Amino acid sequence: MSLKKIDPLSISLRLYFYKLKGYSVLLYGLILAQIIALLFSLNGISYMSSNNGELSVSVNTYSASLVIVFSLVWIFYTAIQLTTKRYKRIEIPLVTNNITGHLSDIGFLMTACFFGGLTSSLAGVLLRVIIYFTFDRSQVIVDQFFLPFIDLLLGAAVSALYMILISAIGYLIGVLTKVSMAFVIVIPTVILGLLRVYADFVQTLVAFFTRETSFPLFVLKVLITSMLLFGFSFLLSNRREAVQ
Amino acid sequence: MNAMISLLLIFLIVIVIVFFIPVVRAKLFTLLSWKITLTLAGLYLGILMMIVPILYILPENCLIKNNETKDQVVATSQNLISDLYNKRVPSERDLSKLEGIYKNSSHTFNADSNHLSVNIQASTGSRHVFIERKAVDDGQIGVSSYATAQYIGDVNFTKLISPPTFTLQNGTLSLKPPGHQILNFKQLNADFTINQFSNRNYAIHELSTNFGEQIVYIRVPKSLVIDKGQHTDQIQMVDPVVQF
Repeated sequence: MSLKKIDPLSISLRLYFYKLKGYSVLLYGLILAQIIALLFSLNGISYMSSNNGELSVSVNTYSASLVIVFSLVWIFYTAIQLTTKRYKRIEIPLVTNNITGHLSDIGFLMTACFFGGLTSSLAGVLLRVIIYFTFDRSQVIVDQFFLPFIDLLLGAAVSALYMILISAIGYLIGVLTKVSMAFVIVIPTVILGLLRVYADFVQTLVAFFTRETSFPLFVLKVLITSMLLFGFSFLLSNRREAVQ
Repeated sequence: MNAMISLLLIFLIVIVIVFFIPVVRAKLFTLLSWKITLTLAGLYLGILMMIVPILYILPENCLIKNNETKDQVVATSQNLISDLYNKRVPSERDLSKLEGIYKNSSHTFNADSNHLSVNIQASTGSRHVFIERKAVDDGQIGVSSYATAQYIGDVNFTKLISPPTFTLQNGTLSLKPPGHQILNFKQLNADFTINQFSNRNYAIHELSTNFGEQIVYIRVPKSLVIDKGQHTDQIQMVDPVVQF
C-alpha cells in the first residue's frame, strides 16, 4: 500500500492520455465505417419516380445520415469493448483503481464522440462535393445543397451528443456483462421483449430524445441521462485494489 | 441493379470483417503506432474540414432551383389546359405572356406548296396542335412548341422537356415526338441531427409530380389550304376568343 496520497483526477488524466495512445487504433474502425457509409450514401437513401409515357422523372434523395448511424454503431461497439479484459489490460502497468479506470475510459469515449460527431457531420459536406463533381449538375436541386454553416455546427454537436448517449448505453452493457455473463443473454432478451411487448414504451423512450426540438433541452436530456448511465456503471463495477 | 450492387458490397465487407481483420489485426496494430494513427486521424479530419470552404465557393447557378411561385404557375397552367379542352384557344401572343408556359422550340419554314397537311407521329403524351392563319400571305410557316408547367416537388423541370422535331416536305409538316426522356434529379437532405431542430422533415412521398401538356402552334399564310387528314380531333383551328 502506498503512503503517497493519490489524486484520482491527475491519475485519470494521465491514464486518459495513455489510453488515447493505446486505444487510438480503434479510430481506424470509425474512419472505415464512415467511408463505407459514405459509399452507400452515394447510392441515395430514398427514391421516387413518376412516368407519363413520354417522360420519366425521378428524384434520388441523398443524405449523410447513414454515416452518423454507422458512427453510432461504432461507438456502441467501442464502449462495450473498453470494458473487456483485453482493453482493461492496458491499465496494468499503471497505478490505477476502478474510478480512475472508468474516468479515463469516459475521457477516451468523449474524445471519440467529439471526433466522430465532427467527422460524421463533415462527411455530409464531402457527399455534397462528390455529387457536385460526379453527377449532371443541371439535375442537382439547389435546395439544402449548400448546408448553412450554423447547421453544420449544429449537426456536429448533435451527432456528438447522440454518440455520448449511445456510448453510455454501450458502456453500461459492457459493465453489466462483466458483473455476470448471464447478462450476455439477458440484455438482448430484455431488449427484444421490450420491443415486442412494450413497443409503445420503447417508442416513447426513443422519442424522448429524437422528438426534442429545443437544442438546450436536448443537451440537458442527453447529458443527464449519460451521467446517470455512466454513474450506474461506476456503481455496478466492483472496487478494485490498485494494481500496483 | 444498384440494390444488387449494394447487397454484394455489404456481403463482401462482412466477409472481409469476419475473416480478414482478425487474422491481420495483431500484425496491423503493432505496425501502426499511435503517432501514425493520430496523424492519419488528423489528416482525415483536416481533409474533411478543408472541403467545407470548397462547398461554399461552388457556383450554384448551374444547379436546378426551386420555384417559390409554384402554386400560381401550376394554377395558370391548369386554367390554360382547361380552356384548351373547352375549345377556348388563346392567340400565340397571349400564350407567350402566360407565366409558367415555356416556349421550347421555334422554327420557320418556307411554304413549298399551296396546301399544308399535318402528320403527327404516334405519341403517348398530351399534345395540342393549333393552326392560326396570319393576316398576310408571306409564304412562311411558323411553328412553335410550348410546354405547360411541370413540377416534381417544388422543382420546375419544364425547361428540360425536349421539344418535338418538325420537318416540312412536299406540303407535309411532320411532327415527331422526342423519344422517351428520363430526368433523374438529385435532392440533398440535411441529416436527421439537423432536421430534428429545424422542423424540416422532407419525406419522399411529399414530392408530388405535376406533368404538363405540350402545345404546338402553327402560323400559316392567309391563303394556305389546310388538310387535317386523319388528325382532325387533335388539330384545332384558332379562333382566339380568350383574353388572358
